[in-house]
Amino acid sequence: MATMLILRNIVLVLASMFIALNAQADRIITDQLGRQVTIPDHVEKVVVLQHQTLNLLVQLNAQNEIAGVMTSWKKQLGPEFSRFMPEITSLPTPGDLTSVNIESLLAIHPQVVFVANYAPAEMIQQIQSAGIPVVAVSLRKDADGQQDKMNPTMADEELAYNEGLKQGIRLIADVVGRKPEGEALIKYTFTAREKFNAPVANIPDTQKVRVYMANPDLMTYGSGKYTGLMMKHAGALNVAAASVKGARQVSLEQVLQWNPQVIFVQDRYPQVVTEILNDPNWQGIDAVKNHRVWLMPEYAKAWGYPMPEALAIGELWMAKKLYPDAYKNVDVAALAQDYYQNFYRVNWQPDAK
Amino acid sequence: MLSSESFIPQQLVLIISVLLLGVASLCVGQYSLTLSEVLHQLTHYSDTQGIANQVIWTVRLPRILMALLAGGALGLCGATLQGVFHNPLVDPHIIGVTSGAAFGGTLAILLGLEPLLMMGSTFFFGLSALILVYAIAALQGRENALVLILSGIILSGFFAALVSLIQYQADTEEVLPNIVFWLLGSFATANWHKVLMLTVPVIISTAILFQLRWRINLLSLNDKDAKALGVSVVPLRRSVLVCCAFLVAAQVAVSGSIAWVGLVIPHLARLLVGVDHRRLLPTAFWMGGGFMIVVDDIARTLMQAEIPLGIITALLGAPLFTFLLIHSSRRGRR
Repeated sequence: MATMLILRNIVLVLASMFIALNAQADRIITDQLGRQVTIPDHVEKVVVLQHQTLNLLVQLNAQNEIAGVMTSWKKQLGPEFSRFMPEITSLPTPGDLTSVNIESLLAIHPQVVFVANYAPAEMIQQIQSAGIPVVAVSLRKDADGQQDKMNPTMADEELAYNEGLKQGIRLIADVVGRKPEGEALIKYTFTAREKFNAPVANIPDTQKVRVYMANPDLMTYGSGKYTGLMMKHAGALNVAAASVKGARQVSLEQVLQWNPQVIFVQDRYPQVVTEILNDPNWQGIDAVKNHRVWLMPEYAKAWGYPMPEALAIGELWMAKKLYPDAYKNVDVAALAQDYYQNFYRVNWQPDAK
Repeated sequence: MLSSESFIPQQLVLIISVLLLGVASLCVGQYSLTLSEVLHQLTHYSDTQGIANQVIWTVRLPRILMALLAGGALGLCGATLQGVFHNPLVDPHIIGVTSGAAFGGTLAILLGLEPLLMMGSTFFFGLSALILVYAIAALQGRENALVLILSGIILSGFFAALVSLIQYQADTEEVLPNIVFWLLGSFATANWHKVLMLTVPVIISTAILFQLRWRINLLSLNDKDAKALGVSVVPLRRSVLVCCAFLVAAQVAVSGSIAWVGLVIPHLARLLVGVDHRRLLPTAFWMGGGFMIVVDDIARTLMQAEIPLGIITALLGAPLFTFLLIHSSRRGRR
């Protein structure tokens, strides 16, 4: 009897040592600011303070690992984002892109916090010194010393965003232990992109459709952002790219001078379409005259940061809008449905509002 | 008006209640801790990784001290400047230092500078603004209160325009939110390093201003009367302004620009102890500190995420100031 008890005790001690060792097992990863971060081996509880990463985590089927989200997720991703992740509405919101309430964060006990590359250095320092590893995501692969710049000078935008997106997905997938899902997402995205970009790849610059991206209050994207690349891949020319850098406000006069043939409006700003169509000042513009002011679908995220769904089907949607003849036999809605089924595990609804 | 016998006990009551308020603030926050836990952690500092200990020692305590010092500095500056410029509508913004410092900070955010460089830039541009105020006054060949106020307004406007220019130039998705949050002021990233950065200028400037308290009384007469009493107005006013600029620049450097405190607190303090600067200055310091602790408590507990301080100080300050105006005009009529 006594030996049994001793044996049981030894087993218990060994088991608890094993668990303790297991919990302490750490690994070192490099985030997209080039920081070395030590994170636990098994990460099951993360807080996300960047909407792009939030979107990617859901696509990697890691939504159950999310224990806290940014305050403005609804504004950034649209209220309908909750259909991919119904529990998001009840999650705590300890901070946002540029600030965090450190106590709210500590109360969640997260193992890792994801932040944007432009989160203030002080904020990253503060979370890190509170003992929580911080992983910064830029979805850009920049030259050294440019990582935390807001409008980086990039030698090759194309390469920076393609490699940056792959690197970002691999990083996020690695942190939450979803490596196979990450590779599947990358493969699907870049294969689809290559296939659907081909028909418009060789249009000479002079024949490309001139396109303007209208955000509220005359905000638009110039060069250095993914938006310009999206247009390029869809065979379009961003009218703002020549003179504007980054996300900026422009004047109406400038837009009149550019005289775009097509105006695209992002899914998150539907009111901009009505504004443009009803504003007498815009009536002289080619795109308005020819009724080519188009609201983009949810997956065509013409953001400053690349999102896989934008690369895989968003660019295709845009290309087909601009050059319908080149895509006569392509059913964009069916492809969207396939993507949504694969990565969001829901049906694609054209008017999900 | 209070007699000097009743002033000291009253001041002690004020200081003790502000300190108690600070201790009480240690008990509120998003991370729930009971009163006994707070007291236990407070008396048992340890470097080991207890989260409760961390919350008290590296989150709440530096934050509350920073709020106390920043609020106190603003209250003290406001009271001093209102006296020196013989004008109840003056606040620390008037000497242009706040706008200059705000420009320094936004420029640093735009360029993506390190936190320490950012504080340096904020401090540098804050003090540069004061030098420019004096340069403009010197070019006019006069240096009276009115000239200084006008120069301050000119520079405030100029630097405010530069801040707007940076905001306009900034990337709307990445840099602008950073700038806006910083401009509205916050103690969210408080740490002991920042407390120290604020403590040194506050101790030095406060000590000097407190030594000068009876002379500030003379400065608050008009220049002719002050001269007749044998005060050398110009050098005295210069040293007072340098002290104030030092305080404001340090405050903006660690916590962003915070409006209204420097305007409202001196009025409240005057209501309590009268216009004598010997009493007004310490009262304004402690009341400012207490007010700021309350504002920061709201900022960190009302929602799960942080609320910028500038929003709360304005929402509380504006009605409070209205109340004070109505109160004093009624009293004036009686």
